[in-house]
Amino acid sequence: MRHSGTAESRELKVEDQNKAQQAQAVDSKKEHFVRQKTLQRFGFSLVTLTLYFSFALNWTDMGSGLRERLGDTHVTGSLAMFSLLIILFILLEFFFIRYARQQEISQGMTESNNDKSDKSKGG
Amino acid sequence: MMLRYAGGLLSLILICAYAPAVMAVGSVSGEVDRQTINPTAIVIFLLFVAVTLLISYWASRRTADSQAFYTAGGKITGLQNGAAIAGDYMSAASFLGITGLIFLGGFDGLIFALGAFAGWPIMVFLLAKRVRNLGSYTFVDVVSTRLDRTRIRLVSITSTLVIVILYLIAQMVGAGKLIQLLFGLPYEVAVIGISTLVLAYVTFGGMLAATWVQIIKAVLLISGVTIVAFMVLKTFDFSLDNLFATAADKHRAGAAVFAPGILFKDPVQVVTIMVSMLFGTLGLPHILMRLFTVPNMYEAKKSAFYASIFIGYFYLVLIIIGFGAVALLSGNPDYHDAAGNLVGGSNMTAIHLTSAVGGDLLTGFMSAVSFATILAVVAGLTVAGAAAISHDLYAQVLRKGNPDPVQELRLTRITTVVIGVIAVLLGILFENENVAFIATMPMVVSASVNFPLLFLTLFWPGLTTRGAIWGALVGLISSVVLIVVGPQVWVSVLGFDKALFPYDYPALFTLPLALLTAWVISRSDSSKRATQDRNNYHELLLKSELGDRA
Repeated sequence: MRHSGTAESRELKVEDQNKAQQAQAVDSKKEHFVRQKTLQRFGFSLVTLTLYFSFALNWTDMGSGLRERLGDTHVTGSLAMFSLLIILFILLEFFFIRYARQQEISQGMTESNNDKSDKSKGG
Repeated sequence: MMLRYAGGLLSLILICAYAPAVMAVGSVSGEVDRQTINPTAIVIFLLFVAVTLLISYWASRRTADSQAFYTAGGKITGLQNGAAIAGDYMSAASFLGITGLIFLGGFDGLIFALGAFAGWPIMVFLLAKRVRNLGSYTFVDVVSTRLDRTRIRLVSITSTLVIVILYLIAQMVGAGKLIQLLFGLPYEVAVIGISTLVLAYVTFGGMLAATWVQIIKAVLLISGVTIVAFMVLKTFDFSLDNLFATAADKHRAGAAVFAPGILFKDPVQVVTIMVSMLFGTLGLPHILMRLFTVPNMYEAKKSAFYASIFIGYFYLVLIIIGFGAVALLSGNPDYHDAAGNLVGGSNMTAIHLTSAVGGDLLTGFMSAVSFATILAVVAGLTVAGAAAISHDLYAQVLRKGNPDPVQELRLTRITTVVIGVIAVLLGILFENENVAFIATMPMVVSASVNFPLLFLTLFWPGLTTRGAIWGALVGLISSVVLIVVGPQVWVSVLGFDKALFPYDYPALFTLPLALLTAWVISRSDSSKRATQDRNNYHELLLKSELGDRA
């Protein structure tokens, strides 16, 4: 009896350890995912901010080339830059959202039904 | 010609967001001459009012609790919310002001367009999902998640109210002038009328009514600018190069109208505007609040993306409208007075252009849309102000998160009415004041207080309550002080010869100062609360990214 009791408690211990390890693995997977996502967020933001503030070059000597006309048209590099930046930013957003979604699906981090419809209350 | 609208009017709408630049290129006057009434504008405007009031009635039947009031029950779709955000964000200043700036200063006017747009990609990348996952009704919910709720809420509520009230003053004064002009009503009656309309929307219909007012306004504004741009292009046989060639011929700067340097020469000044516009957008409480009206984080991200598309399209179309105005209005005697100045000032450019390409019908339409625009923005601001008092202050601070739901909703409605009354009083009080600096402050305060708070809360584990509070206070005080000693107040209002601080938008300096203060104080904070704040970060991080799956 004593022997079987010890075996049972050992089994329980092993089970607990397995559960803890599994939980740890899930946690570390989540943490890894969140770290990855944070880096991604900063990466996209950095690209956007760099492009955005490069617009100020138009007012410096370094950006004098931008003030020139493009070929025979009246469009200057500055004007083209303005339009391209807006389009580029929208494309960056599109790729960010698409890539993030694919990443979530591939890593099993898609939303549950609760996430889809729930809205937590209170502060 | 119906278009002899006068000058002060649209200057005052313009200053709602772009005041300093306007101040740089033309005077902002509080005087408005009452003009010939445009019946088309009145009919379209009354139609807009009738439809939006019906919507408010419909919304009021679905607004039974605080959640419904603040966030429309979280049932707005991403696309609807994107349109509503665009409606909330694209003020009349965007259409009237930037067109006027391009007319005068060519390419330089586009800084404000890019600045107003570029906050949106950052909103998608950094904030939309995480803010939505952590908050419930306001951005203050987010910053109080890991910090001492009471203290940080009080600071955030203060900055929210400062932004909302200053924004409201600028909007109310501009709107009062506009309706005075369109209807020939006395200014006071105009301001009271606007406030009454907004109160009718918001008090009964809450965020749901405000959302639909904003969606309708966005659709009208986008349609309006598209039609105007189409008509401009039609005038030039749909050749952009013809349009640009004519603009270069007509503008005093010649082909340089398409290059920088007419309005702004100092690159630092340009960067100050860019910093204020971008980071200011990311901290506007009434815009952030819209992220909570959708059912989940994916819709929140999508709504910011859709808003980008609407706003981006709008600013791209403004290139055609702005340079179209240069081509069609420059030197045109129909739109200039005997002294050679544009009738009504540069801010009337868009309306003159509309008249030139579309006649009275289109002009009436665009005038009514401009007014609808102000109503939509004021509605959004009113909801944000009411939420700051009833949710953030009453429910979360005074009742420690356990408010009586009936009482909370009642308080929300009372607060809405109080904000409406305050808006009227301030609108009347500031009627003849130079309010340009008041319009600058919301963006700068938002960039220097709300954005650093939000950013550090979400992305820096070391932030403590003490650091956040000091950072916010330094951001707030430095913003106000630098604006006061800057050109807009020190020279234009107080009459000194030279400003003590050379820039209109000080966020380039105040934002880093707020971040640095928060960092230094947090690093040196060894209190028990600080340890708790730091320990809370891990949980916040997982929840902000994973939502309920954390």
